[in-house]
Amino acid sequence: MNNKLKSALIFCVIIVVFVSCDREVSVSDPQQYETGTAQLYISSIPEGALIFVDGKNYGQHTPDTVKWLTSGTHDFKLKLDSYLDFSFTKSIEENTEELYEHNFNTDPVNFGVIKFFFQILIIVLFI
Amino acid sequence: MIFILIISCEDDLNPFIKGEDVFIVNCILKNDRGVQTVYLSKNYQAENFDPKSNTEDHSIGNGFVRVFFKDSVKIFSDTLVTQNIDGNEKSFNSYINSNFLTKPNTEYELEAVLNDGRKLRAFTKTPNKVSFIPDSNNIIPPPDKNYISVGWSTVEDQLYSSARFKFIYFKNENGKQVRYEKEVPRTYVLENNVYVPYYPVPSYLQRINVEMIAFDRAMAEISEGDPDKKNYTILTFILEILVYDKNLTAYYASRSELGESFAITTNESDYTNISGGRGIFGSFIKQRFAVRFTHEYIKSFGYEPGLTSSINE
Repeated sequence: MNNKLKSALIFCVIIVVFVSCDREVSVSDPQQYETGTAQLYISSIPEGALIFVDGKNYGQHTPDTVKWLTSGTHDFKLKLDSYLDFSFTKSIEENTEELYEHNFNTDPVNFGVIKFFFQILIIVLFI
Repeated sequence: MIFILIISCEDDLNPFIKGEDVFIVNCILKNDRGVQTVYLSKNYQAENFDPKSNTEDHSIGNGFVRVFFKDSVKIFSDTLVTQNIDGNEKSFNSYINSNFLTKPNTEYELEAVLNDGRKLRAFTKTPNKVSFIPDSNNIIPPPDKNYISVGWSTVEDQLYSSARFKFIYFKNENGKQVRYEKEVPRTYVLENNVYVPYYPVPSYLQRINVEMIAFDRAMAEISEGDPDKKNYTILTFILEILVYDKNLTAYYASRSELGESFAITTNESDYTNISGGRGIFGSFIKQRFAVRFTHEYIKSFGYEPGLTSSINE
């Protein structure tokens, strides 16, 4: 009985020794970073379209590479004088380099129908 | 057993242990000049408790910094700048855009990308312009009191502002008129036979009171030791008002020890509005108003008046 009590006591002490030193020291919350590692090369015909990403003007013109994109879905818009804005959505994965090309000249939205109406007048002259 | 219990938890604590890298962005957008600067740096380990004991360059180059606003963007160039700091020439990276004038009441978003793709982001909204409260008694010197008191009003009353009087003067140096500006403190206090200037600090107050003795002393100081007072031409007196955005207001409030009874004093590093890092991205709006003055006041110092005496904003 006495031996059992001793064993139990030693067991308890060992537990206390190990558990008592278990501690976590932190003086601040770990930093949460947003990291962008993907790239998208965007070109257009004609060149020179202004690139918007997620509604922000990136100050870049086609052809150019949009760097440091975060993974996820992004909305892109290309703005070029004399053409309607072109928007597309693209899913981006980490550490990837992709290409995207847009031809404004073949985009049907930039074509329309011009209707001409003629009225033919027949004038008969009697002399 | 007791011995084991006591020594088992003995652990050396080293306060100088290298921790996680923390990246820092600092930028204050100004509306009074077109050059804006962004500083990128990271935390560092000091040799002892003096932060200046580590003299390495902690600025970060090869990053990419831009500021978005409305449908526009301003891209900052990574530039190596050399400055004299504590008597030593030091070079460090900063990000500069030399063609960026901010506008009042506009939202700006800063994005700083480090060369590993890590992004730090922050927002500021520039304050609205202030309105100067006209007062016919605001003339230097005032006819019926021994201080100048000028008030202004802002659309947002929960923002800090600060104001300072200045005067612009020319000094004849070898036949050449050289332009100077002299700031007038709120007051001077005589300490150990030396007049110590006290300048206004940012606060919620929308009024500045400056004693005339402060104007008199500042006016006298520009020609101290120079008997030829005619070499000085006083051009104009101006009141400069700075209104800080809510980030700078919070920063100053966190540092203020007196005045704001509900503010809790914290260390400088405790305030940040940078997402993904530390630092401050803020803005202020600076406006200048001309203050009327009399020729007699300028002539009483022996100086020449440079403009007509009655100037309005």
